[in-house]
Amino acid sequence: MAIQQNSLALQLIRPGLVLLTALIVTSCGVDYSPAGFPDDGRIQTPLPPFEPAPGEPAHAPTTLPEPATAPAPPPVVATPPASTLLLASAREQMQAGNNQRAAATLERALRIAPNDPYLWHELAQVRLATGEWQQAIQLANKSRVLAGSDAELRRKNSDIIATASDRLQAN
Amino acid sequence: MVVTLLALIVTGGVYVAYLDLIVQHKFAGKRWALPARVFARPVELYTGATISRDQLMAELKRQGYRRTDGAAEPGSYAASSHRVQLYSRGFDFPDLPELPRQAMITFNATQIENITLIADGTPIDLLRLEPLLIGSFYPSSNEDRLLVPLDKVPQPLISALIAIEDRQFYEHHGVSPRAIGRALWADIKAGKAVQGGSTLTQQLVKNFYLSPRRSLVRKANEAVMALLLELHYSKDEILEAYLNEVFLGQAGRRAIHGFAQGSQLFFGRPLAELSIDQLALLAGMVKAPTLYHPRRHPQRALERRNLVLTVLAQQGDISAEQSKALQAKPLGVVKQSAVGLSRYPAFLDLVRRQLRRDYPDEVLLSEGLSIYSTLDSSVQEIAEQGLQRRLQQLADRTDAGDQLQGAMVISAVASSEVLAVVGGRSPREDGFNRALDALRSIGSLVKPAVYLTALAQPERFHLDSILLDEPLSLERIGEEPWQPQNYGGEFLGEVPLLDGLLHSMNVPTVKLGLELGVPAVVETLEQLGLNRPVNQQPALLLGAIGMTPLEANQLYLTLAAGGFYTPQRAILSVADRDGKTLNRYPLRLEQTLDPRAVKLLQLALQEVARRGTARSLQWLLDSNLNLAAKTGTTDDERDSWLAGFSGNLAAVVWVGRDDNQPTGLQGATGALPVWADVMAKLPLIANSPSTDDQITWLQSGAGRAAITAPVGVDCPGGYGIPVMAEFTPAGARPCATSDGTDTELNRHPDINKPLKWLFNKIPWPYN
Repeated sequence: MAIQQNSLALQLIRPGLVLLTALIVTSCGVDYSPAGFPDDGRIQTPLPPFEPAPGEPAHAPTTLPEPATAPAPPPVVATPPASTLLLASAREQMQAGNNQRAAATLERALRIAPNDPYLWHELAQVRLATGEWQQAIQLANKSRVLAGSDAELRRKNSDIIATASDRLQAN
Repeated sequence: MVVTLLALIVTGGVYVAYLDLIVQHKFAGKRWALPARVFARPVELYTGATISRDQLMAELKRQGYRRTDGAAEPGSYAASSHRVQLYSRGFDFPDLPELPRQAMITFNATQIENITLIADGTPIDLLRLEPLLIGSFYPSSNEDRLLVPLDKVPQPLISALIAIEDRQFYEHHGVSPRAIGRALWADIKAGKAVQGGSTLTQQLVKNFYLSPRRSLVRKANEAVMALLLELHYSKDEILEAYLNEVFLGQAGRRAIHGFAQGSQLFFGRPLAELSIDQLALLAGMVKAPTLYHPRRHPQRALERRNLVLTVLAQQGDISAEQSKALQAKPLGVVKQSAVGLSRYPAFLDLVRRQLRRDYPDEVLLSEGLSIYSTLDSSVQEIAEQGLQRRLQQLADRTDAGDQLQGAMVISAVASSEVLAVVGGRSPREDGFNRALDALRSIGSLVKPAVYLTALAQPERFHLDSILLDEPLSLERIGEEPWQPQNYGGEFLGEVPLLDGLLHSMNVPTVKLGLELGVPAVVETLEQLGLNRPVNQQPALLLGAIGMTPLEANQLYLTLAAGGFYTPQRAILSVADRDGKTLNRYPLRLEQTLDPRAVKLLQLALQEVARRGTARSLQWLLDSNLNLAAKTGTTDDERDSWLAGFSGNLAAVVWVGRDDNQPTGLQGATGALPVWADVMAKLPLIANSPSTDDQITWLQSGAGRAAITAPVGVDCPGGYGIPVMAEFTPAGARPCATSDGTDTELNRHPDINKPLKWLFNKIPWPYN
């Protein structure tokens, strides 16, 4: 029973995963700039001097290089949005069978991106996996409201609602 | 004779067996009643996080991080104008442990630009600081203690302790005849009691099992029990108990026990981060914590510490030069300790009430629970300061003076997590908590529920429906008829439904409410989260309901969340003393209202903040945020309210007097500026102006309802009427939808002018 639910949930997730991966890859491709990074990946950009801690002698910091000239703009490093990373860990936790942790991680992601319909959708998936049909329906509805014109996501939310409603009636 | 002797031996044996029972029983179980500790939600650092360098530094200071030049140890940081170099402490979070990391954080004006690992410059996606301890719930003994396992105790502390308190600790069996002899000899030489011969084991027995009374019998019991303790338990177990039992000082009413909490008390940092001289001070204090109190008797404490350092050098634990250098250092204690202090008493109050539903007091106050709360310390600080400052200004301007009070609650829209609770003008004092306990009439804060009830019947009402604004008289049994008046005393004849809300007009609202039926409005209030019985009188339509600011915040949370009701939460999870999660309080939601009707109401409330009663918000805050808000004022200006929301935060402010006397302040002049001051400093996400394809914008004519059209909707004059798509009235003309590039939105020249017409009888919409 539980295994069936999981595989169903996975089927629902998969297209979303592809889409998200695509998003991450595109954003990296656009923004990533290796400027300022030599081969070993160490920051070589001159840093501004660190202000001495109050009440301590104002000697030069030992761990940071002194700026030779005006500080250059810091290197631009593209990282995927933090909420997307949390979404990925939530999926790992879910696949490892730890749904409660996955839910906690998704709530953490929602603190960063409260209106992201994908996060709400994923939380609906978790509730589907834990058999909390009512919550699965509510969360999918929430995702649907936020999804706007995203037809794919709307359809996936409708799928969750249909599945959860069936289960509710079967019980 | 033999019988007597036998009886003596048997009695003695029974007595020892009895002591043995005590020794084992208390040592084997949970040894101490531990306070429950409440934590704020941890600060998350990531690229794009809205946190400034100063905010991060304030947080690090609250956490007892040291500002150093190199940030080379956990719990320290260095800072330049737009960077912070941080060595985080790490924390064993229930969901995912966070390891200590050395990170470089770069800021722009308002945000984190990037975070990299110092070691190799690789980007860090997400760094979670340890959660801030905001308060504790103490056992009746008032003992405050933080347990530390032996393997987490720095070795210099153990060496110092054994060196000065009990050199033979690892050799004796609980009592040390040699030490007693030496102490006696010293006493005789000095002619008074100068040295104690107690081993660490005896000291532990004395503190752990026996009353502080001094007597020979007690001394004998102590020796026997020390021997028994050594018989049953290893040196390590005894030492660990000692390190956690020892009394180190008083923090207000709390007795601070154990080196871990002692470290927090005197240095504001975890034990693991202390330097050798600091550890030496703690070890030296054991002998007489009051006498060697470093804040009260710094000179004595310094001498004692240096004595310990000298002994450590003699033993070869440290070199003579090292000892000399350490002895030259100042004591390094923090001026004021956060131990025993509840930082945010009004919020803790809410946590305690929510916990009492699930945990009996004996568990709550003794099991050493870790409670992970939803408090955002930075939001809380901003709210406290904002309310305090603005109330002071208002108090200076009104007759209320120092009587003027206020309260504020801020919650996250998506999750209904309560982020900040301010219970009054002196937020650090644990007094009357107005946010939770001041039950005050909400006045016009109720009106959105009336209009929402109407908008949820789209076949009957839309924002442009006409309401009659004419004198109204309602018969009441045994009382004068009720004749509600508009603010300003004028009647305007016909007004669009929207305008009734925009200008908080009483008579049209009552008429609408009566048309809908008071029970229907009450049902809407319940769907919004009202959870107390109400008197279903027509006066309810104008806000004759007492609510606390916390409850009012709940109603607006449901509005902000598009009609999804999520009960407010102050607690995320509770873990036991071993870190095992006992209880989670997950996000639950229930769609109680039609999201489309709520969307229309949201758009109307956004317009309230542009040209309605809360219009000054548009000048005080970024107008692109499309903030939604509603003012509330009660009879004779006794209560001044403002409730509203951005895309991420819902906040409510109440201003008034505890004795319920008039303040001379309306919603827009009392609560509104407080709300604006606080919200202006918070990271806000804009409300979406409506991109919903289920909403159609219709063209508006003179004298009709009009809401600022969003970018991409091309209404004549820039104003239109949003309606539910399938309920578009016959003959209505939809606005053109463009791709948003058309900037020729020719705004109506008059519409942004404040509502002079209402008060000066210039019938603007009707000309």
